[in-house]
Amino acid sequence: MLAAVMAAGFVLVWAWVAAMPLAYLDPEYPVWRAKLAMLQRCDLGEVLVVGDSRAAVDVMPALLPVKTTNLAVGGGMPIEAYVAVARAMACPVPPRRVVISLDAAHFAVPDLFWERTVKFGFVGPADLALLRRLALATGDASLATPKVSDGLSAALRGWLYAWRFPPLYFGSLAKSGLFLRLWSNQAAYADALAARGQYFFGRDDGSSTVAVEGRMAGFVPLPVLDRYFDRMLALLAARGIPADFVAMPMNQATGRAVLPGVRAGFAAYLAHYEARYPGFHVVGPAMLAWPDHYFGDGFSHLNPRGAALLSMRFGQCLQGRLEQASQSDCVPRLEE
Amino acid sequence: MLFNSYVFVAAFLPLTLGGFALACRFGRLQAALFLLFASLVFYGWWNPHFLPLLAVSVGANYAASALIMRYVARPRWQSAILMGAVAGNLAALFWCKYLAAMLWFLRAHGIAEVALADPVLPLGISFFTFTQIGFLVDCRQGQAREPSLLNYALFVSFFPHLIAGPILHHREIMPQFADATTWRLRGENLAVGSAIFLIGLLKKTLLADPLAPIASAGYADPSALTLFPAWHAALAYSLQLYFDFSGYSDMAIGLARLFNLRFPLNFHSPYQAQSVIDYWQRWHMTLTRWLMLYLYNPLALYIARRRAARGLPIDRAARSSLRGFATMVALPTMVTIGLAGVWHGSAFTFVVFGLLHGVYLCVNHAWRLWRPGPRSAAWHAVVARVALTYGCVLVGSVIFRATSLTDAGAMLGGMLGLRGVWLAAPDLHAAVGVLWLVALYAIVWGAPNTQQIMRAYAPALGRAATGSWPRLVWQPTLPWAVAFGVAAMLGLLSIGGTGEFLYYRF
Repeated sequence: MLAAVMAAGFVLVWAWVAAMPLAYLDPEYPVWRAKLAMLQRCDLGEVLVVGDSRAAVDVMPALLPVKTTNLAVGGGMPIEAYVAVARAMACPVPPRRVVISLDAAHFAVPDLFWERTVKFGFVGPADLALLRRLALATGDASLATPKVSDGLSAALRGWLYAWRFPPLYFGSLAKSGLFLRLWSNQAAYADALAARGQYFFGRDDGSSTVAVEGRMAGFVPLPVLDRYFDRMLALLAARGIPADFVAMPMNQATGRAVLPGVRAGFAAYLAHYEARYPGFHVVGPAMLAWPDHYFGDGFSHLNPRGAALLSMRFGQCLQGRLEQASQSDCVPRLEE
Repeated sequence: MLFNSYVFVAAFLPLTLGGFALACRFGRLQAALFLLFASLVFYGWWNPHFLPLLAVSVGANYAASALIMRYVARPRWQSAILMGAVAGNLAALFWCKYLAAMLWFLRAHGIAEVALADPVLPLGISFFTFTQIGFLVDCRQGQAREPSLLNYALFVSFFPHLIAGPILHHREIMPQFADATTWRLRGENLAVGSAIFLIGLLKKTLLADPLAPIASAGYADPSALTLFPAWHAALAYSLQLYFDFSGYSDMAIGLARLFNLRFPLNFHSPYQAQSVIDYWQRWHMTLTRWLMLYLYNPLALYIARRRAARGLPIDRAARSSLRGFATMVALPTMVTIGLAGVWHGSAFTFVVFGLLHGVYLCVNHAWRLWRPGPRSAAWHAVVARVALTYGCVLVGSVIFRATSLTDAGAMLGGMLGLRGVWLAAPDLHAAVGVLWLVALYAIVWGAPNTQQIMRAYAPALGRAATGSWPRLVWQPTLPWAVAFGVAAMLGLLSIGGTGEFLYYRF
């Protein structure tokens, strides 16, 4: 009887977990799902934005003059950018231009890859198999190995995520009360689709908290992330699609705290790839700061006012670059 | 390998139970060998490099015990062997657990320039070292004798107690090894053991683990906490520690029961204690017992003999004098509990934690000696005693958890309201958090514990569980099967963890 009750309950929960992720997964999931939906529909437009959370927040496609899709994600690293670009390249009409925006830390520190990218289904078993191969080739297992030590191998964990194995989602199930996030997640999903992938984190009227770059001792990219960045640029070059690297601003407190070596190392790293791939351009400085009052949280995500300002200017620049007329910076340098 | 991991629950445990059932068909020797093999697999799973250390420790201590038993007619030789073996055990423990920290301390204070990379601490070294020292001391005193290396090795390394206790005593386990009924699977023990294991698993995964992020966030920067968040973090950690250790102890007892072995009780509602002495008789009970048997009692006996030799009284009246109390009660108490603090780790906070509890115990002993009258049984007096005891324990847990004494002071300062009283703005999360803590305290102070729930089947060695709530006494009935089926499903689900990485909140 004990076994029967346990098995029946487990199967029911598994069915719920597989069928209704919007009902229980955390509030960032609907945004990722919206981006995946646009990718699957090949509803991408002329410009594709990939990168990390700053790009996800700062670039508002609704304010841009050309149809743009923002597929940048919270904690995004070159691996997520590569996966998005690779899928976009498989569309019948790929975007005309790709904008890449990643901060220095997302080349150097593994973020919550397993806890979100894999858990949300942004990458699947085939992507993870590639990751393992690249980890083996580079000798860098920092991303391929989950941080938790519960005895599951990375391959098995990836497979269990793909099948939505309920214990891996238990935290979300418990915190959501099984279904209480359904309505807010549905609304967030609709909002993200309407905003073509853009969403906000903090909405404060300013932040002077030093973000992660301000705490970096040096710029040393992880070998496996470097390999993904290279693969992405190579893929775009092979398809003849130009790519621009546009740094999103950090707040001034962070700008002051960034060590010169980090700034120079990151710029040199990007310059190396700019020289290697003719279609890849670093537009503007690799790191720049804006006044603190434009930021909505301690991670240098712009608040709505800052994002609107950036997007207006970014739109003009983008139009020019599409017409191959503009060489100006896409993100203005603002002073206090 | 952790008890609450997939590999343990889904693979190791079923395979070990199946293998044990099969081995039992071939005989006691084969079954014991299989359990020993399984225990070594369990131990080596995380880091196989430590298996030789365990093997050498077991082998060397067994050899020492054999030598002690061989030289029964030569007590001095026995003592020399015992001292050598104990020194060897403590040296290994010191090397693995304390040396790097001590060298770092000396270097930080400019006393010595020697440095040592932090060694990876072998799992359970404190537990199997203490188990074996106790065995050797009892061998020297003629109270233990184990001619079988297999029995001895299994006694030390049996996987349910190997990593985090309880600290077993040979007199509890060896007779069970000698009992022929131990060596075949029994349905009743499978049912009882599974139920106890499940209760422990749920305590760990559903009650303890969700508190960890609250405590971690609070203790990460206690100097920023005002009154409410400081109390929230301190209480969350206190409860996390409680349910974590309680759950682990239940799981160990349940696992042993699956293999027909009964372990000693290790945890008996310690936050219901009415004095700090009572608390230590309920919290990590087997460690307290070990410390009493092999540290406190010999030390107290030595002091009493020295006093007697000098013609000084050693009776209760003598203990009631200030000087007698200091030498016969306070000194052995402070030494014993001070070392118990250090046993938990090499940080200075553990020293202070031990000394603080030593002071508590001395005050408690003094109160018992000099208190004005008998203890009141009125409910308000009981509540007051429990509250006072818990308050003392809570202060100790702040020091135990903090990464430095400065942080501990900052947390206690926050709890006293030195940085302000009120939280910034009432929010739903905070309200739910408070309600959750209230519910957990209701369990701690109001609900029957595992021993009381399972009392019809004598779940553990030691004190017999009593209590009210007869409807909550486990029975092999349909409703209980359904309840535990649901519990098993929850337990299986919760192995994935209750944490959620909410990027958007950071």
